[in-house]
Amino acid sequence: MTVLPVAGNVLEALLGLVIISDFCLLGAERSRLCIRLVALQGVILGFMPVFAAGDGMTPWLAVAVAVFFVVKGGMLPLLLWHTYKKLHPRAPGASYLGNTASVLLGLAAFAFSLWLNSRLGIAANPLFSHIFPTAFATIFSGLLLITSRRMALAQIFGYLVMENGIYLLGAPMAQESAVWLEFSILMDILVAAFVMGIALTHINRAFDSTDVECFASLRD
Amino acid sequence: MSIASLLLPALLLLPLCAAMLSWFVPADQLRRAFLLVTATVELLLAAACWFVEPASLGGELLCLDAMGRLVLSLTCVLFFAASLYAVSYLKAEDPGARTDFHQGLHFSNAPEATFTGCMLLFLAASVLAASTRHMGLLWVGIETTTVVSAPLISFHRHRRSLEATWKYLLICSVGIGFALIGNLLLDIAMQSEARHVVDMSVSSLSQGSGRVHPAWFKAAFVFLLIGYGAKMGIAPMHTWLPDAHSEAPSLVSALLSGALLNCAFLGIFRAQEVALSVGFAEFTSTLLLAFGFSSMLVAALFIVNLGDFKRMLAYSSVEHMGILLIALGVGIAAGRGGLLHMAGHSLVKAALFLLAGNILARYHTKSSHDVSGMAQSLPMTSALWLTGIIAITGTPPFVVFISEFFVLQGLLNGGLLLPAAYLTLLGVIFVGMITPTLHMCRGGMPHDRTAKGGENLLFVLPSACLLVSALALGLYLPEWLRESLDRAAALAFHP
Repeated sequence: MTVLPVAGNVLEALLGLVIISDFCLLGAERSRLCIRLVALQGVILGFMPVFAAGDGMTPWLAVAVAVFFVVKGGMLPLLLWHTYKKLHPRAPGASYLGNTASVLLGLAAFAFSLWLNSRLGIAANPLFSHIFPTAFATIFSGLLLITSRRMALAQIFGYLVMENGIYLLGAPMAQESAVWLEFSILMDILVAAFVMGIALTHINRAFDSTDVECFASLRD
Repeated sequence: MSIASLLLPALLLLPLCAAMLSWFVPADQLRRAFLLVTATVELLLAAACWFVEPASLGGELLCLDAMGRLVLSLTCVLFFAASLYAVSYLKAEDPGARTDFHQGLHFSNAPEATFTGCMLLFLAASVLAASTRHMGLLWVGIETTTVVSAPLISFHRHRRSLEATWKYLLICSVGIGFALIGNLLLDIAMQSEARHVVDMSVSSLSQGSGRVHPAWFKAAFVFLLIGYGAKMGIAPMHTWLPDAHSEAPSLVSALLSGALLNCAFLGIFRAQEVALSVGFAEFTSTLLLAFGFSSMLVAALFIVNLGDFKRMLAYSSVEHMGILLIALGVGIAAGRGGLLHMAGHSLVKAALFLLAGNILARYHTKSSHDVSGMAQSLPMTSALWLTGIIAITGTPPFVVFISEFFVLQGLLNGGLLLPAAYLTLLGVIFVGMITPTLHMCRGGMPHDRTAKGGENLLFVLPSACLLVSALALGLYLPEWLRESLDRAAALAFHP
């Protein structure tokens, strides 16, 4: 599978946007901004099957693009927004590490993934080597958000960013015969985010906060 | 259409449709009956799979091999026992606001319809995981078990259960995310210039010998092991397990420990099946042994003087999941024992968690220091609790003793160091569990907890049946079951 030059440039630009949104998420303190950035990532990722298909776009893959676009770019951010509106206090809070250090760690992860990409014997699919550094850095950014933020809502952001990275990693493997599987995975993530949102609402009601520092009663 | 071709769709669709319908059943009593009927029919369908070979659908998308049948059967047996228990349990639960005996704060339960619906969805997801040999669909099944079991853990919406639910959701979702990365890396490892599209069914992946990219394959296995290992409660990714198992309603803890952990183990089993076929068993066995022993060690360190009998059972699950990984790492010498261990652990641990629910309901505490005189206050529960603890710690003649002995036999083939460590850890855990158990059963009842009242037979019957099964399997292993265990072991246990 080859990536056409024009498509290649667009792909590079979109991947650039994804990585910038990762850094912005790592530095962001306001939930509204985080939700918008997650939505932006979702919209960009919705287009990935187009690049994976190359010149072999089929009606099924077109449907897949539409579904990914709606779910990742629309439904998931709306779900986050809905949860966010019910919470007090609403800010995701600063990172334990500090925002600057978080962004610097994100940059370091991106640099490391570029190095790793050059070191690994990249697989048969050339599109994979285009995508790998961004995907790896996005997964890392998601994990960093989960582990370094005090507010549980920010951990949901982190989970979704990590899933975006995994989705990106799998984008080169997108194929018509496995669209059903991608839909199933997408639905699972949607339901997981939904259940997390509900759990968070109950947590907020029981603890009057979503600060994970409050979660200290279960210890050995 | 033959019965064989209908079995797997029926097994999947029955709990799925029942879950949807249960939300529309208006009366609680009717819904409980509905749950029990569904569990009974599902159990009968699972039993039918031992007599009629179910036809596969979509290649290996829905395909029940010997291992899948074992996991499926265990899931259905435990679900039936849990449903039987649930009927009385849900009836006894106060639907209004009440006080948490631990922290003194008010809370109210989640709606019963949600609880029943999620239980049935959990069954459907577990059946899906057991009856597929497609790595992608297996992932979907296991991830779905996480999502639908979270509301079960937070049925009592007090602070501790919500905290446990959050940890469970987050750690398992991230873990399962790692398993998804493992699947993607597996796909990459199997790709070649001529073959960009990889069929993710286990048989197809197993035929990739000679074409596999070693570095990618090893990375894939590590991610799968960490991902499914987190869900299985393998140390050091086990931290969610004691919290979730101790804070969930006891029948949910029974399902989590007896059925959910097996599904996660199935993920690692399938990965090992591929590794064995493509010639990486040596690499994977070392990893499995390392994670297995680390889990046993962590369980041994925490279980001694723990002071919370539900957490004690949870750490015991960490130990037994470690033993399962050790068996898989040892190979075919421990093969039958390993799978027998999975069955034994499921039966006994589910029984113990159900009994823990009875103790909690009577004593209003999870502290093993504050529980005493059970022999007088809860005579049936006390006798079964003591029997169960004896069984789970690997005492003869129960099945867990037989299976642990098989694993020891397998370990002895590789020198004396590992068997010595294995026996030492088993010994420490035995002492750690039996000491508080004796204290709980003997002595007089605390004066403030002398409330009388007989034991409801439905609260002890499921546990009694499960423990009798564990005893029967220890005394006699039928030929058909032995054959099935050997067939399952041959899939992933290396020679």
